[in-house]
Amino acid sequence: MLSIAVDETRCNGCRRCEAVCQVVSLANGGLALPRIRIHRGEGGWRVRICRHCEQAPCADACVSGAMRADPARGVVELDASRCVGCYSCVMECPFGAVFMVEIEAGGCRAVKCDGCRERGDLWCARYCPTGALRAGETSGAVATQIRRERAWRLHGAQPYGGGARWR
Amino acid sequence: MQKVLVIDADRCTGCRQCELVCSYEHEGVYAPTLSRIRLVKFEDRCLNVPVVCGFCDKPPCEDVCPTGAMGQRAGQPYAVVREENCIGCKECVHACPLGAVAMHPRKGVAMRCDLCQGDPACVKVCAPGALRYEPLDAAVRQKRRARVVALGVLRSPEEEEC
Amino acid sequence: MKKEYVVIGNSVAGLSAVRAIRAIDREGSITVVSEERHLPYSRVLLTHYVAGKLRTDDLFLIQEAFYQKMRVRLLRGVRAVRVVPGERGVELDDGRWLRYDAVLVATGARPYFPAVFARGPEGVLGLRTLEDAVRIREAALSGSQIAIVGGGPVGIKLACALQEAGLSPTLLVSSPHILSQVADQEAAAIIERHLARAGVRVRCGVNVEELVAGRRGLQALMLSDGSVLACDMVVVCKGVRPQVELVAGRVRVRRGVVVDAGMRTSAPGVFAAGDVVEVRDLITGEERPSAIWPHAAAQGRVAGTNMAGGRVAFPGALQRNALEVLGLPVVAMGVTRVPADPAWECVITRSKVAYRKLVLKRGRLVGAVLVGDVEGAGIIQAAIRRGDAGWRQLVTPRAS
Ligand SMILES: Cc1cc2nc3c(=O)[nH]c(=O)nc-3n(C[C@H](O)[C@H](O)[C@H](O)COP(=O)(O)OP(=O)(O)OC[C@H]3O[C@@H](n4cnc5c(N)ncnc54)[C@H](O)[C@@H]3O)c2cc1C
Repeated sequence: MLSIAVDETRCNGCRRCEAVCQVVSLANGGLALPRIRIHRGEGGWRVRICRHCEQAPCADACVSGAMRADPARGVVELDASRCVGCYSCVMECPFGAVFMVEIEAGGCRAVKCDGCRERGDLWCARYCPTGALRAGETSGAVATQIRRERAWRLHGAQPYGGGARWR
Repeated sequence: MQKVLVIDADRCTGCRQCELVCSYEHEGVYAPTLSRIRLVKFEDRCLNVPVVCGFCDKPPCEDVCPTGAMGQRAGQPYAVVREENCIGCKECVHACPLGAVAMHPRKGVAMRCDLCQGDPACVKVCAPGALRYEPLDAAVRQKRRARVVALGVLRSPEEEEC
Repeated sequence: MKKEYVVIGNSVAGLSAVRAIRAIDREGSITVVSEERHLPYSRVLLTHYVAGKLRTDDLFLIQEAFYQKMRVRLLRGVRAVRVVPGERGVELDDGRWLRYDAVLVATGARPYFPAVFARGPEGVLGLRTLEDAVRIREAALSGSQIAIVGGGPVGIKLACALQEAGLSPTLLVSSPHILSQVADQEAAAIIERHLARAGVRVRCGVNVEELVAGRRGLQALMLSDGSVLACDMVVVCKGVRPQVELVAGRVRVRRGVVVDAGMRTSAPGVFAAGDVVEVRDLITGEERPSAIWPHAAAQGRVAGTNMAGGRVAFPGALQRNALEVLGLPVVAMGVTRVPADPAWECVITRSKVAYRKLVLKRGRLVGAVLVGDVEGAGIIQAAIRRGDAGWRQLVTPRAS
C-alpha cells in the first residue's frame, strides 16, 4: 500500500511539487504536466493528489479498463492509452485528484499521480519543504511509525500517572 | 456516566493479549496486525504503550474522511468504521494524532477501536490492569492522585506501607 | 471443503465478483456462464466504436488469460435458463445442470421497447450489445438515415457518435427537453444548443406514432406532430429493463431483483448484482434499478466477497452520469430537478463556458448538475454522500 499523507495546513503554495512532478512525468515518458495540483481554496491552500485508495472509486467507475488498482504495487494506475476521456473518474474522485487534459482538438484524457513508478520515492513529497506532503512505502509501515512517534510523545517523553514509580 | 478506556502504560507488561483478543473479537483470528489496539515497545526505556483510539470529541479521522465512513452507525452506541463506505484512502491513518487508526492489510479499509460496542474485550484480558474501562470521573480522580504523588507532594500509600 | 461458485453474466458485475471471490477463496471452483460469445467488453464504449474512435479490439475489458489466472471455467454462448434455489442448481440451455454453493445473477438489462416498436420491421433496434453497435456502424458507413429515439445519456451519446461518424442524425425526444430524467432544463438547453451547433438535430416533445415499413424494412416514422421522418434505421434508447426471467418467481423481484445491502436475494445462496438488481437510493430512499456502471462494479465486488464468506455491504445507490457531448463535459448527480417547495434551494454559478448547479434540501447537498466545467465533481459527490453542510466551499471560484 502506497501511502501519501497530505497536510494542507502546512502547504505554503510554493508549487515545488507541481514543478518536480512535471519533470518526473516527462522523464517517465509522459506529458509534461503536473499530476499534483495546488490551488488556493477557502481558508488556505488545497493540495490535489491521488491517495491511491485501496477501494478506488475511480477504478470502479472506469468504463474502459484504463484505471486499475494494482494491489501488488499498491498504487492506482492509469493506462493513458486506454483512456477515452469520459469523465467518469473525475466524477468519482473525492479528492478531485484526476485531471482532464486536452491532448488534441476535442480529445481529452485523464491524468493522475502514478506513484512515480519507482515506489516509495514520491518526488513531490521529497521536495516538499514544509512537510505538507509525506510519502511512505506501505501504510502499514507509516502507521507503525506514526504510532511510535505519538506513543512516545504521550507516554514516553513526559512521564505522568503511575510513571512516578520510576522516580 | 461516560466510561473511558484508560491506558496505564507503566503497568503494561507487553504481553500482547489485548492485540490477540481484539483481532479475535473483530476478525475471528489471532493476528496482531488485525488488532484495533496495538502495542508499541520502547525496549531501551522499558516502556510498553498500548495505542488505541482516544474517542475524541472532535475526531480528526472523521473530519478528513471524504466518504463519511468514520462515524456512528444507527443503533450502535459507539463509533465504527462503516466499511461499505470506506475507500481505503488512508487519510484517517495520517490524521489521527494518536496513531490509532490502521489499514486492514487484506480488506484495504481502515480499522479503529469500536470499544466492542461498550464491552471492550482487551480490558477483560489485561491481567496487569494497564487497560481499564472506567467511568470518566473515576479515571480523572485516579489520575489526579497519581499526579500529586508524582509531583512529590505526598508519598504514595504503597510506599508508606513498606 | 471446496466451494462451487456460479456466476451468470460475464460483464462488469460478473467480473468484479470473480476478482472478489478469488481474493478470498483460492480453492473453490468458479464457473462463469455467458450468453455472449465475446470476452467481456465495455458497453459504455460502444458509442465510441460507432463513432469510429475505437476498434472492436479496444472494447474488451480483459484478455483470455484472465480466466486462466483466476482459474475460472468459462462457458461461452451458453444461456442460463433458470436458477433453482431449492436444489442449489442452475439449468443451462444446452441441458446441463450446474450445482452451486453460491450463485451470482449478473444478467444485466436489455433495452426497453415501447409498444409501437415492439414488433417492428427490420431496422428497429436498441443499443446494448456489440452486435447492435456493429449493425449501427455498418448502417452509418453505408450512409443510412438513422433516427434515435430517447433523449437520455445513451441516446445523446449515440447521436454524438453518429455525428462524429459523418452523419447528421435526428434525436427524437418525447419529453420537453433532453436528459429529462437526469438533468434540469437549463443544463439541457445548453447541451441542446451545443448539439445543434454541431449538426445534431434534436426534436423535443415528439412521439413516434407509427412505423412505415417497405419491402426492405423500415422507411419512415410517423411522428405525433403530424410530420413524417424518413429513415432506414431507428435506434430505441428509452431505458432498460432488468433481465430477471431466470430467477422470476423463485426470488423476490419487483422491477429488478430485490437484494439486501450484501447483495443477497430472498433465496439463500443466491446473490445478484449490476443492472439486474434494484437498490435503495441513498438520497430519496426509493428502491429502483441501479443501471450504471460504477454500481455494477461495486455491487459485483460486494456480492463476490459475501459469496466467499466475507462480510461487506453496498452503501446504497447514488444516481449519476458523466457525459462528454462533443467536447462539452456534463456531470449530473443525485437529485437534479427541484420541486417547488421552500425546503429546496439551488446554488447556481453561470459563466460563459460553464453552468454549475448545486441542489440543496434543508441545507443538505443532495444533487448537482455541472456543464462545461466539471472540475472537482468528485469532491461534490463526496459531499453529497456525506450529507454534511460543508458544501459552501465547493462553490467558491477556483484560482488555477
Ligand atoms: C451504449 C451504452 C452506454 C452506456 N453508458 C454508460 C455510462 O456512460 N455510464 C454508466 O455508468 N453506465 C453506462 N451504461 C450502462 C452500463 O453499461 C451498465 O450499467 C453495465 O454494463 C452493467 O453491467 P452488468 O454486468 O450489470 O450487466 P451487462 O453489462 O448488461 O451484462 C450482462 C451479461 O449477462 C449476459 N446474460 C444475460 N442473461 C443471461 C443468461 N440467462 N445466461 C447467461 N448470460 C446471460 C448478457 O449477455 C450480458 O453479457 C451504458 C450502457 C450502454 C448500452
